[in-house]
Amino acid sequence: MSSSDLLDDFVSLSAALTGFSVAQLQGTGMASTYYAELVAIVGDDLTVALVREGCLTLRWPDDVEEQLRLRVMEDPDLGPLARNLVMLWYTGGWVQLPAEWRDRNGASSLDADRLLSATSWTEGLMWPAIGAHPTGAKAPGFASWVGPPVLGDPS
Amino acid sequence: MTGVDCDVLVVGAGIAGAILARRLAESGLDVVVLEAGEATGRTWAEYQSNITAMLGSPAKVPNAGWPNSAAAPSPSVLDIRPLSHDGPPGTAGYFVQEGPQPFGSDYLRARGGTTLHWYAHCIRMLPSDFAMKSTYGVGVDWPLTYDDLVPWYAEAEREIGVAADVEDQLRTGTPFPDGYVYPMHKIPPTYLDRWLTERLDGTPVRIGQETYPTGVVPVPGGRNSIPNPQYDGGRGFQPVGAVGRPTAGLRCEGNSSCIPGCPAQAKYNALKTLQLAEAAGARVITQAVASKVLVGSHDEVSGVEYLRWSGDVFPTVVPHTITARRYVLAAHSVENAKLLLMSRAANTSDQVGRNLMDHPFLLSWARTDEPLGVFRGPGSTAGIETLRDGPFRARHSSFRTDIDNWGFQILGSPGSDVAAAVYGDQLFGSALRQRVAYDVQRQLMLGFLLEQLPDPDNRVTIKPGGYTDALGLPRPVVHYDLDAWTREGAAVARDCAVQWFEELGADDLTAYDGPDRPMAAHQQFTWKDRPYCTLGAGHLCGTHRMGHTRTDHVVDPDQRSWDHRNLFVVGAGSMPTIGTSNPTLTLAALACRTAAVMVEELA
Repeated sequence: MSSSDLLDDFVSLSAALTGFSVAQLQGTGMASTYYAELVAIVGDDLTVALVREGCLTLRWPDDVEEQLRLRVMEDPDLGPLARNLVMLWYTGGWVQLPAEWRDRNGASSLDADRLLSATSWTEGLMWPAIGAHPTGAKAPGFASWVGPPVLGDPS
Repeated sequence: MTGVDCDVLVVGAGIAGAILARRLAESGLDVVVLEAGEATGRTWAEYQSNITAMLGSPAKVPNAGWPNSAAAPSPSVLDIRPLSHDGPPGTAGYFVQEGPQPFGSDYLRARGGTTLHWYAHCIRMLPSDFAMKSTYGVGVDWPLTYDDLVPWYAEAEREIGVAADVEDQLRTGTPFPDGYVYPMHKIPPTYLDRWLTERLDGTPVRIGQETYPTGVVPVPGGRNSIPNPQYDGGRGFQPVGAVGRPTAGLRCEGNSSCIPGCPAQAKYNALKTLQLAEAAGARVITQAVASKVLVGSHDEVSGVEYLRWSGDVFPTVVPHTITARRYVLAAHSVENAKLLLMSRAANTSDQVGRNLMDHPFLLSWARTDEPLGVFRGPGSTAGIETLRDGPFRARHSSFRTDIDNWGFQILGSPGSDVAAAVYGDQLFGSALRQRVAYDVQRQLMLGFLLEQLPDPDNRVTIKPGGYTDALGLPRPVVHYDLDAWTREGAAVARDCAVQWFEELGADDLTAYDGPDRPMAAHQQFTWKDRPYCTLGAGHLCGTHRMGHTRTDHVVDPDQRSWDHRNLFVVGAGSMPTIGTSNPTLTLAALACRTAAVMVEELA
C-alpha cells in the first residue's frame, strides 16, 4: 500500500470517527499533519495498524459504528489511539495517552498534552460541530450573532 | 524648556499614559513615554504575530500570546495557586502572594498595556458609587462626584469609541445630560441576550426582605459598531480602525476573542491613542523600566532613573536618568505603587500600595433546554444591571452580572465537552458530533462582579532584600483577603442566580467545591457553612487613592501627588472605591481630566 493510499484511508477512518465527511476533513488541510503527528508519537506500526483495522470496518457501511466499536474502540492498543485522534481533529490538541497504554507500548516524549499549532486550533472540528467559528479566527461578520445558531447536519 | 530633557515624562504606555501623552503632545509639549515592556502592535504585521501566538497558546488566558519577558515580567493567572493556611507565600509567578487569599488578577506590561486584552466594557460608575460612606456608611467618599466626571466620561467615550444607547443605560440608574448620545449605537444584542431578555427582564428577584426587578440591559462596549449620526451635535462619529491598517476593524467582526485579543482591532486598545500621540511628536521608549523616582529640593521630583534592557532570559541593562518639568506615573495600580515604594516617594499618607481592590468574580452556570447560540460575538454584550445599587449596600456588596456569550469557555469549553464525550462517554462519529453540539449550545454562564471595599490591609508592598526580578528590581508582594461584606455579597449573588435559573427552568450545574470547581478559581472560602470560589477580574484599583487631605491620600483630585507637586500618579490606583463598573472607562475619564489640568498649567 502506498503512502498516499494510507493517507486516504486515514482520512476515511477519521471521517467515520469524527462524524464529518472526507471532503470536510480534507478541507481543513490538516490530514497529512495529523497523520505525521500520529506516526511521530506512536510509530509507523501502530499507526498503520489503526488505519488498516479501522478501514476494514468501512466495508460494512450499514454497520460501521458497531464494527468500529468492536474492532477499534474496544481494542486496548488501538482504542486509545482512535480516541486521541478524534480529540486531535476536534480540538487541535494531543492528550497524553493512558498510563497503561504507555507502559505496554512505550512512551514518546511527544506524547504530552499540547496544542499542535495556531492552525490546528482554528481548524478544530468542535467549532463547526457547535455551529460557531474558532475563537479568534474566521470571524463571521458584524451582527452575525443576532440569529439563532445553525447547527451543521451530521449526515 | 531649559535644563530638562522634556516637558513631561510619562511612565507607562497603557491607556492612561497614552491619553495623557496624546493630549500633552497635541498641545505642543515635548513628551517622552517610558514603557517597561516590549514594543507591540506598531504595525498590522507586528500585531498579527501576537494574534497567531495567542491562537497557538494552549490556554487562552488573558496574557496568552502577548509579550512576557524576564526583564519586565507580567503576572499571569496561570501562576496563581491556592494558598495553604499559614503556609509559605506563593512565589510561582511575578507576584509574591502572601494571602490569606491569592490575588487572582493579571495585567500586561507592554506597549498598549492591558487594553491589548481587555473586555472593553465601558460602564460609567453610578452617582452613589462616589459617595459610599455618606450614602451607606461603608467605604469612603470620593473627592469628586459623578457630575464632576460627566464631561470627562464623555471625552473618554469619544477617545475609546464607545457603542451604547443612552435609553438602555438610563435603566441602570446612570443619569446623562439631556441630548447626550454615545459615539456609536450599541453592539447588536446576541441571540442569547434576546433569549434572556424575553424570559428574565422585569421578573422579580428577592434580596433579603426586598424584591427588585431583574433588568437585562445591553452593556456599553469599547468596540466599533454603527456610528450614531446624532453624535456631537449631528457631526457623527468616525470609528477608528486598526493601527497600521485603518480600513480594518471598523466594525466588530465577531471573532469571539475580545480576551486574549481582538484580531481585527475593532475593539479599542491604547495602540490607537499612542499612534496619535506619536503623530503629535511624543516619543515612546520601550524596554525602559523606571527604577527610581528621584526627589530633589523643595520636595520636587528631580528626575526618573530607568533601565533600558535588551535580550530576554539574561537581559543586558543600560541605566539612564531623564528629567522633565512634570512627571506622570501611569504604569498601572501595582507598578505605580511598587515604583513609589522603591523610591520612598509620595508616601506621607502611608497609603501607597494599600486599599487594593478588584472585583471578585463569582460564576454560576446552568444548562438550558434550548440552544442559546453561544460562542458567537463579543464575550458579553448584556448584563443584569439593576442590582448595582440599593439599600442592601449598607450590609453587603452589590454586583453587576455579566451574561457570558461564550458558554462554559471559562471552564474549558468546548474542548472539555469534547473530552467528556470522547473519553467519558466513549462517543465517536455522528453521535459524538450531536452530543457536543447539544451540550455546548445549552450552556448558560453568569459572572458576578462583586464590589470590594477599600481595606488598608489589602495591599502591595515590597520586601527589601527579598524577591526580585531579572533586573534585580523588587517583585510586588501582595496581601489580599475578602471581607465579610463581600462574602455576604457573594452569597446573595449566588442566591439570585438560583432564582433566575429556576425562572428559566435551567438545570443549575454550579459547584464551588469538588472536581467541577472552575480551574482558575483560586480564591476559596466558606461563608455561612457554604463553599464559594472566586476569580480575579483584572480590575486592580485603589493603590494610590485620591482625596482632599495629604494625611490620608496619595494624590489630590487632580491626581497630583500631595507630597511632590510636579508629580502626577494616574490610573485606577487613584480610585478611592471600585463600585461595580469595570474601571477602565473611569480611569480614562480621570486621565482626560488630569491632562486638561496639566495642559492648562504647562502649555
